[in-house]
Amino acid sequence: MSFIELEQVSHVYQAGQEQAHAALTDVSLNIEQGEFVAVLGANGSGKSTLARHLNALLLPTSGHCRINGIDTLQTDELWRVRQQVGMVFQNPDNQLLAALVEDDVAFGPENLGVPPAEIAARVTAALAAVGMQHYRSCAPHLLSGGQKQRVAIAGALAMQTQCLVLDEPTAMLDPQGRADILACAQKLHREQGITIVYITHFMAEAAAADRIVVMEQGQVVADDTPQAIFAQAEKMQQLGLDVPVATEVAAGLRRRGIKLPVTILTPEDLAAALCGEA
Amino acid sequence: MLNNITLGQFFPGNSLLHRLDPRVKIVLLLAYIAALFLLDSRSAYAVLTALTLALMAVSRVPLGTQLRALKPLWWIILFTFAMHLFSHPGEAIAQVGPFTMTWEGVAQGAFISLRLILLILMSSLLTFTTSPLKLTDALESLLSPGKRFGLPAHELAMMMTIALRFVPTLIEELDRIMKAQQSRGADFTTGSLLQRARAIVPVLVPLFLSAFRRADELALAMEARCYRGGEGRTQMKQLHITAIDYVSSGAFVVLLIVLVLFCR
Amino acid sequence: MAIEIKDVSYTYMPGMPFERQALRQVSLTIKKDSFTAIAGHTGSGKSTLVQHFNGLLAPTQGQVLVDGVDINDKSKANRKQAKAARQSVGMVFQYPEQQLFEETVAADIAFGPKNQGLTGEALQDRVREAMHFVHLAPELAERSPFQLSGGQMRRVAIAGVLALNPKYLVLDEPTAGLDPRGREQLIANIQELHAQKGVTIIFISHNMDDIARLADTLVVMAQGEKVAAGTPRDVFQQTELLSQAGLQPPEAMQLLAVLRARGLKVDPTAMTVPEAVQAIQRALTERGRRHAE
Repeated sequence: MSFIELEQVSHVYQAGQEQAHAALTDVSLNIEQGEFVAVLGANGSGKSTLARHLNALLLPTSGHCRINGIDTLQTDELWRVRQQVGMVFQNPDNQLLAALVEDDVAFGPENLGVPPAEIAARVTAALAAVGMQHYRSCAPHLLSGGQKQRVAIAGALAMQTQCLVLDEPTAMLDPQGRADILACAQKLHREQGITIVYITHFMAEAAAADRIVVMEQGQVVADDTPQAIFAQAEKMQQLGLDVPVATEVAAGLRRRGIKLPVTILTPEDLAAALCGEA
Repeated sequence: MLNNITLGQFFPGNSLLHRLDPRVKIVLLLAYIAALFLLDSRSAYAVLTALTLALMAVSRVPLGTQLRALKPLWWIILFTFAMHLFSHPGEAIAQVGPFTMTWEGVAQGAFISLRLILLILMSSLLTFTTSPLKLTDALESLLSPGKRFGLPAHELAMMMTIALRFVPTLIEELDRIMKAQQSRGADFTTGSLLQRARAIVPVLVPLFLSAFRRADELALAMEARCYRGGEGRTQMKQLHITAIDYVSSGAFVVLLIVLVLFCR
Repeated sequence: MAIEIKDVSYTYMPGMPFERQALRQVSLTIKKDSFTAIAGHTGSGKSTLVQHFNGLLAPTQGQVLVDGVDINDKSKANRKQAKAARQSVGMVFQYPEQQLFEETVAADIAFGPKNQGLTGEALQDRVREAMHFVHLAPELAERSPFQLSGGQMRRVAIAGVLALNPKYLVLDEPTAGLDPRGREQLIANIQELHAQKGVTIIFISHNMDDIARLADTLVVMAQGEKVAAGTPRDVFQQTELLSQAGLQPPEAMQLLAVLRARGLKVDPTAMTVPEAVQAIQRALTERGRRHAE
């Protein structure tokens, strides 16, 4: 059994009405415990709709979505699903609700009815895991965007989530904030074995994943390793997506007749191909 | 331009006043205010003033910060004082047109002003030493007996929390929208009242839209974090009545009794 | 013809406990017809700086001249002139779609020119022209702006500023939050505005790759001060200074630095992807020749 199992999931907004709009069509996808999956796709390709199915904020209009074996259509198990899958949204300002960082991180466990002393311990651990322990008693509006997003991640960790779904967490951040969030997700993945579903428009971030899922018009159109995905540079560009700079440069060199493998993702890959192994 | 409004003037610290249970603080503040209005002898006011000054010192909030709380209400205090100067019959000091200034007026004016000043200083002492969050928790706790009569204590407290969190964000946003529309030639400062009211529309519409969008996204984020109302919810920061609360309340009650008995 | 910032300092909330100096004696000239990028870490003062360009903020000290006119001149004789000078600078804020408020796209774009006193056919022309410049189809004119896609909404907002016919256009992170396709379209639009309509462009950006391929001038801000100004190529060479300002060179340059560290002698001044490709090819040919000798 995979941790996340989507079985022919379709989602139609305002089904049966005039403005009915199919956001997901027949999506089948399995994500294993401990995977780091990036999801790419142009705006309107259904990425966010997909993300919201993963913790039952949206329910499939047809098909099934199972999280750790629990079908999200079983509404009495809703809270167990949401406890296991934490969400981080795009706008850092619109997901923190308390006037102090620590109170915000405590919000999830408080909702779950965790005993107060344990909540305090979890808050401490969660803030330390995202490197925000020194901002415990800070007001969220005084933090930078990247710091706010890390607090949001801590809020999910404090619920002892097993999987983090990050829906364009870096879209509104500066380069420093972007780097911090990616590093934070990678650290949690590596050290705590947390399953990561990372939606992004930034190819350098996607290249850090184990696996990339590409969406287009509500369907999964590619699902493979970053090397295999970015090897098809032209297809990606048709889908309105970029490729990492090193991949783009390598493609340019190949067009000029220089023999290079199609699996180059990072500057180090290119250096190894051009200058030999370090 | 707009970011000099500080809401929730909490001043973090670890003084005796910071450590008191917020519920106790609210109840004691109410008792203090009652005493201010019920007592009017000089000796009682001397004691209350001394108490206020002592607590201000105990709080360890910088004096300047504490006194700044009076700033927005300065005009009201002065106005009250001036009103009283001329409105009490007695020994005349000076004559301004048809009005007579009297010594009794000076005394009464000073007394009423002192009452206002003490009221403001002590109330702000509550907000200086109690985080807005603790205040909301205290209100929720104090109001929770009302739940039986359908009073939504938890919901009210949650609304206050969210308001506290979002006021600074919305002020920033307002500032940005105003500047953006000013850059498109909007003018908020000249013209008739009607024209100015109209000029506000291009600011209010985006501000409301944004507030709704934020509300929508926040609701989603709260749901994602298992929020389902106050039922079955615990709180990390629990309010505990401790020894200092008993001692402080006891001392205060004794003081009040003494004041009522001996300083009327 | 230029925007001249002369020794400008700006302090937020002077005399208050939260007093903060956001700009320190910044002097800067932005020439007409240039394509200027302003970069800096969050909180470096770049947004405060550009808000001086059209008088949204008045300097605590110093002067701002637009085409030789002091835009903060309040004297009776010069007030009108100052206002006209301020209006020649259009300002597009971050996430400008959040300032839309009218019921139709056309009405929203007309807001600015209407405030300038334009009416009737002249106003309609302005709106049509502005929509044309950002490639909004004419049939969208009567639609509600709130039914459009994010990228379209942003272009409506930019059209609303363009309809003021600015000589200078300031854009604060114009592509933030857009997907790659939306970003490319918008960048192409801005390039057209510069090349065809002759609008001087000043844009704030975190994206050094965009700066490398678009700008002819780069100004770097750090802690309220101007720490560098020049062509992007020159500024990007000052790696020490960049990292002190919390910035990184364009990705293509970083890539070349990795290759250089591994012994491939690539041209250190290449900064865009096509330039990098060329530089690598040249370095490989050179290496091949040396091997052959």
